[in-house]
Amino acid sequence: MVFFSLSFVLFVACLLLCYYACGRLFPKYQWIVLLVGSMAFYCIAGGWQMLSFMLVTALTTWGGALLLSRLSAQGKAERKAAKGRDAKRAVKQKFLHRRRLVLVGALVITLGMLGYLKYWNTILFNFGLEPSPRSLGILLPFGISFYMFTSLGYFIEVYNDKYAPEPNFAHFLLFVSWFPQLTQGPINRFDEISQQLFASRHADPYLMRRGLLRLAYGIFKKYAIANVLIINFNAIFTNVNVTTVGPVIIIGILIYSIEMYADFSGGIDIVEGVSELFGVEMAQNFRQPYFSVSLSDFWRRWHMSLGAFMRDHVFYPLAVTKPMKALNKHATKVLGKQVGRTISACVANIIVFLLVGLWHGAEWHFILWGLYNGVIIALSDLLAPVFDRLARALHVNRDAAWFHVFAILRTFAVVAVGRYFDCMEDVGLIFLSLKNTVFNFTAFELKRQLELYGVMSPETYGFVWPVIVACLVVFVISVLYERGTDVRAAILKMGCLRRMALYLTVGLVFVFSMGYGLTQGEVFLYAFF
Amino acid sequence: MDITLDDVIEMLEDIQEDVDYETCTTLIDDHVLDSFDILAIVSAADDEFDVSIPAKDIIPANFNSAQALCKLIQRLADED
Repeated sequence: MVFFSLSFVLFVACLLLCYYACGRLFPKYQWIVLLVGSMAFYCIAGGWQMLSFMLVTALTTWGGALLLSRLSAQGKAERKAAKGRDAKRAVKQKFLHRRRLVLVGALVITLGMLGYLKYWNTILFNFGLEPSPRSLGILLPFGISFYMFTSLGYFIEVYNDKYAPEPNFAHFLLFVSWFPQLTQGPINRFDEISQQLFASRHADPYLMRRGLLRLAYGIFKKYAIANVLIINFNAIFTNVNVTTVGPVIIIGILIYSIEMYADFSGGIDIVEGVSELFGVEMAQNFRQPYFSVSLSDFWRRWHMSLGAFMRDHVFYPLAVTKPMKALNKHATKVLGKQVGRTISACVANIIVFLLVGLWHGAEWHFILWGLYNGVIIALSDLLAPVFDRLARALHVNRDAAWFHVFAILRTFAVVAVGRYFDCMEDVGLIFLSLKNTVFNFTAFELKRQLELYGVMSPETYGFVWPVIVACLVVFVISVLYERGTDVRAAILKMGCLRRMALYLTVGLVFVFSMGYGLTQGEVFLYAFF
Repeated sequence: MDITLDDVIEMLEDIQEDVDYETCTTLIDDHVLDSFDILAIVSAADDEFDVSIPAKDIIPANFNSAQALCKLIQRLADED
């Protein structure tokens, strides 16, 4: 189901009507409307045949979590009954072992299913056993990565005793299948969202207006920016060859960087806005990422829910293992305190980014993308004292405003280099583009090649005027958010005339952009992961 | 061995100086400590107090102040 379509609007409107009507008549059962709506959405958008994968995931993690809790209770009772310290310790070990078996079993079932559906064909292709990465015709179920990470996060947190398991499967299924999160996340946490999903409520006009504003902002980003820029991005990167000059590639990467942000964050604003209409606030996924002052700061602001999942369930568990601690100690002895302090985090970071790369797809360019990000962050941490000394020697005031701006631009450039590995699938083409960016930097050819490749509006480097205005609108809103302003509250506080004038201006930019953009721009980049 | 708040503050000062550990309660929320510092704390707790901090306990609430960290280390020491 397309987000910006009559069918989606009708679907959401009907569901809202049923939800709030049920809130008046049967408040205790209001959440059932959300469950039925989410199931219906999944069947329409993903196909009912694919529902079984979601049900298996939900059943495995829900049942596994209950089993863990039962084992914990049994373990506590037996420990209490045991006499002597050694006997108590033996009971603890026995139940720890059983709980680990349940953990591994559930992980094997869920991740095995994901691995088979998402990677098996590509692995066989890489070993020359299949003619193409899609030759087996395995279809990736709609939203699998998101509902799997959502349910695995819940399962691991119950394993870690962060909260008690949910006894009601229908409740849990709603948490896993909540329809706004299925297309491209965010990856929600059970303890943060469950009470909001299960609570009964009446429509709050102010909160609904806030939700609608966010929804409209997301549609604006997606359709006024992303869907226009994608045309020029395709025009450039389907034509890149040995003669392509560096500035053309840089323009292409710049277009991609903006398009990717507008597409992904716009999509997230849409789904967050829809969710807010039902009074459910999902996890934050973006916090002005292009205002980051370092690559690690960027990854704390971009796709935040995936970052948090990886930090809690991969980075720390890996970094505090015994071999990592031993590595730290050895590195401290041999290479000094700084390396010893950072080495385990560096190694864990590289592994996390490799996994995130693989999460995007089992393709070499994603592995290179993961390595690039992991290695750059590792190097920046290892070399931090060198940068400190350099700044002191050059008398650079790192607290100055100009340095902050410099750090933002430097981070944008570092992220942009990483985009080479992300936006092109052919590794040869990636390295050719990197080579030409540096060694074939001829500004004269820029406009001629943009024209030759069929880029719209080559005189303004592929940015048609409504997109330039739309980008400025997003920039101003982002600056306000960065300064701590609640932009939506500020807009809703405005006088009626001023607010209407604002809506009209932004609406006109949107209408003009639509004249340039894709007419069928319903596909979101992250919907494929 | 009794682990005191002073011991924990001393350990923290070895990891990052110039922080007012007596009063600061937003060490993580205000990015005073980053992930590298947290791993250094995990390592130091192991070395100095023979306490192993598991990944599941690495949450902001346990690292936002020296007092919270001290409580965590004391609890883990008691569990052993």
